[in-house]
Amino acid sequence: MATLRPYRAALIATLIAAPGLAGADLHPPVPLLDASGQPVSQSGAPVSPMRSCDGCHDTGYIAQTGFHFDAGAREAKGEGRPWDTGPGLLGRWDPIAYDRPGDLAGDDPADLTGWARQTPRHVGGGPVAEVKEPDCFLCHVASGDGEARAATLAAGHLAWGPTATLSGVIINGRPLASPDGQGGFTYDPAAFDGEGRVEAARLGLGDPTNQRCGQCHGQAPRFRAPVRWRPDDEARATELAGEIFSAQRISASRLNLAGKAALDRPWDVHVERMVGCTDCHPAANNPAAWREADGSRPGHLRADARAPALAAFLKRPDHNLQKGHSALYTVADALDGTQRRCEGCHDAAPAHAWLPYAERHFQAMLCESCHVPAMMAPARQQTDWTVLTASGEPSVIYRGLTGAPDDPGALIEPTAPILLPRRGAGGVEKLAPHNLHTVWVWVQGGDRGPVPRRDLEAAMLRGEGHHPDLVAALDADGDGALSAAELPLDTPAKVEVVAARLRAVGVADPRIYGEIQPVGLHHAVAPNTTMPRDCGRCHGATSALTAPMVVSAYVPAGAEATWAPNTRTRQIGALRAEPGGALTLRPDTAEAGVYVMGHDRPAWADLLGLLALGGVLLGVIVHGGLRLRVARAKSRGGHR
Amino acid sequence: MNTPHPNAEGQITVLYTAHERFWHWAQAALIFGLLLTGAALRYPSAFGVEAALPTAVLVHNVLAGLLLVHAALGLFYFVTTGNIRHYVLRREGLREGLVKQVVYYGYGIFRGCVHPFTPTRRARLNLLQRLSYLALLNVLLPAQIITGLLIYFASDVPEIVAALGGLPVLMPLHAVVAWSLLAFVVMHVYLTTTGHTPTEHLRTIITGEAHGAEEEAP
Repeated sequence: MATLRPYRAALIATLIAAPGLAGADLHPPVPLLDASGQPVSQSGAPVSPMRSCDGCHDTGYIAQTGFHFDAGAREAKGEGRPWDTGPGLLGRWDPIAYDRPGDLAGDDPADLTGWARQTPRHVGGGPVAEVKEPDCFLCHVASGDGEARAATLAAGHLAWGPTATLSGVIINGRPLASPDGQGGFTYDPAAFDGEGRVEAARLGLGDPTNQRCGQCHGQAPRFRAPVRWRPDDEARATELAGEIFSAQRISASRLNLAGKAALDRPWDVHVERMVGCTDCHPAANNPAAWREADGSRPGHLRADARAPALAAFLKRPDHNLQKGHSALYTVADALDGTQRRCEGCHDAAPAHAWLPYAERHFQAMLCESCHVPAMMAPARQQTDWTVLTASGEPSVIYRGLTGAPDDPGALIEPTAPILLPRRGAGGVEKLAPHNLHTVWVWVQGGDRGPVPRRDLEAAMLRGEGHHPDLVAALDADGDGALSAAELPLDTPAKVEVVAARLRAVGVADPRIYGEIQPVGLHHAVAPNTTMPRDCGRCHGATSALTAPMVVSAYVPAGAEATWAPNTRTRQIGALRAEPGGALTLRPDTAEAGVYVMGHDRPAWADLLGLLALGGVLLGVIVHGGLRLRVARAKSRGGHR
Repeated sequence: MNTPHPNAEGQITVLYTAHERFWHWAQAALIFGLLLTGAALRYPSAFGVEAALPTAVLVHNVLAGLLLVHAALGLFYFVTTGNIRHYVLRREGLREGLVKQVVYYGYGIFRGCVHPFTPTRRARLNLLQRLSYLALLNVLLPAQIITGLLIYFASDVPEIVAALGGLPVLMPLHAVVAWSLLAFVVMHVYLTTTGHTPTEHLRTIITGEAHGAEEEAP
């Protein structure tokens, strides 16, 4: 009997499981219904995913249980900032999106409509279910148009959001839904069958593709699409960690990356091997990937054979996706550790036979510490909201980027992450690679949190430029405008000018708050074949484990940066103000309980040893010298 | 006028058998190798072995394993042959003997006095030697072996290692003991020069023969 070679079997299995292919073929046609249950092809009303999908899937259950919908609204705040109200997208202040619910002009804090409008990252449902229903298509339709959805939401047409997502679906050369010019959409009748259904394959329905997840989590260009880099507030893994989830060779990318020609490897080896987001972060009850969390699985069981039934999964797919221990995200902590980690698929021992004390290395650090050796794309180093740019944006500095972020010719240099201890399964800490993102922001007195953006704009901007008070205080070159180099508030006088402006617009007791947020690097994994077997990288006099990282290029006068609360990553080492004004963090491995042979040498040990050796040597020299002297004296006496 | 040492022209006695001499020099080579590779592991940049760290680790561990085997076989030999008596301290006459040794090394050696101890095949080590070997064999070597084993098996017995302060404590301790062993070696080598001639003791541990030693203790 002919046997399949393993790689062919893997390829076939992958193709079968690939989203949008066999999965969509198996899926029955989807009736696109409106909120009243009528086919939208007849009613012309917005598509309701909750009604459309409900025929086969328990959408009510899904929307009530998945943490992507809840956004932490029903979770306790935990160790958040004083002004945080929860641990998730809704309640935890986001230094990039900046405004909190209620901070938008004219919004009632209790009315989350404004937040629903301005937060396309939120899929819908949960705390805003009344106004913005969960958009199943955003994740499950391969060609869904997230940008059209965001624009539709921002325009306030919340009900049309899912339909806007479907506007990216092209059937017979025409979009399934097209803007009607009034905020709504019209449907292409030819896309529907007689019962108002659309074939799942034509809809591109299936497991979320990398590109779907990438809408919110990081740039994940399609296989043949050339990799570019641009600032993207929504693609957080790219924005904050320089991760690009692509199979493409780095050397073939469109980035002006230093040493690119030699980087003949994919941006992420897993994507190259067709491992997608959902392979590592599957639905918790997906029978194909089901794995009980270490915390709840009895210790004597390697695996529980009682996997969930396929029918139960299809009816009620658990949208609590398996996850690890994030340094950045703080929702659904109960699911921490449910995700299959590297060692869940890889047997590290054979590949590390060359490595002395391999197990000790595994105990001390996550695999990513070596296998994500650099941030290949720029990652945010700092976001400074203390003085807005003339366009009302914060000053952003990217690590590894020389030049303007919007300049395709700006030079990008890969930067090494900083290794810091992260609390993982069982509370065990291991060193893991991180980027550090620092934010400087004005907060109001009484722990009322960041000054609303509208107040920042009112205080700092006037017309097309900055307020004259700011120009007078900060315009060093006297050209009447503030350049990027003039924005840092590096003297108490400059700080006071801005504080006075904030007080003038009604902000009480403004002060600058600084926060350092560690962001873990877990994607953009380099192939094993490119790993340098260079022990000296960590075990030499200069060790990558203690290499300093610039936390902030400057520190606003009188301000201090604090470690972000509610993160599993611990600061080791002290922050240091460099002569040039930069703030750096040099990790102290001793604080992590790690001893790096060849690098860590406590002075007391060598001091004690040298004292012992020195004492003996001194004794030998004195004693031997005296013996020599006596011998010479005797010798002279004998000769006489 | 120099007085000839009364033992200088004594009879030739075989103090160390070939096996004992091999044991000594093998141990010396192993300890020297361990000190050298240990220093290289502690200062890889200074020794230029950063790129060859796995090899240095391997050599250090192999040498340590050989030393362990060597020590075990040595213990077996000394116990079964009864030669362990050379390293045993007896309370009787201990204080007087030690005082004599200290006085000799601190004063008598400069005056050309006779060494208060004459080695024999039954008792070839003086009390000061016995005391220092006792410290070496009961304190330094066990401490080095225990810390070394804990470092080697750190990933297998993490709880024990953690209870002792973890590698940040064990590794420096291992280094301190290594420094002490180096100090011992320096002292040991120096004391070999305190015979009738500077090379007499060295010759003895190479050839096994001692001039002026006695067949039996008086």
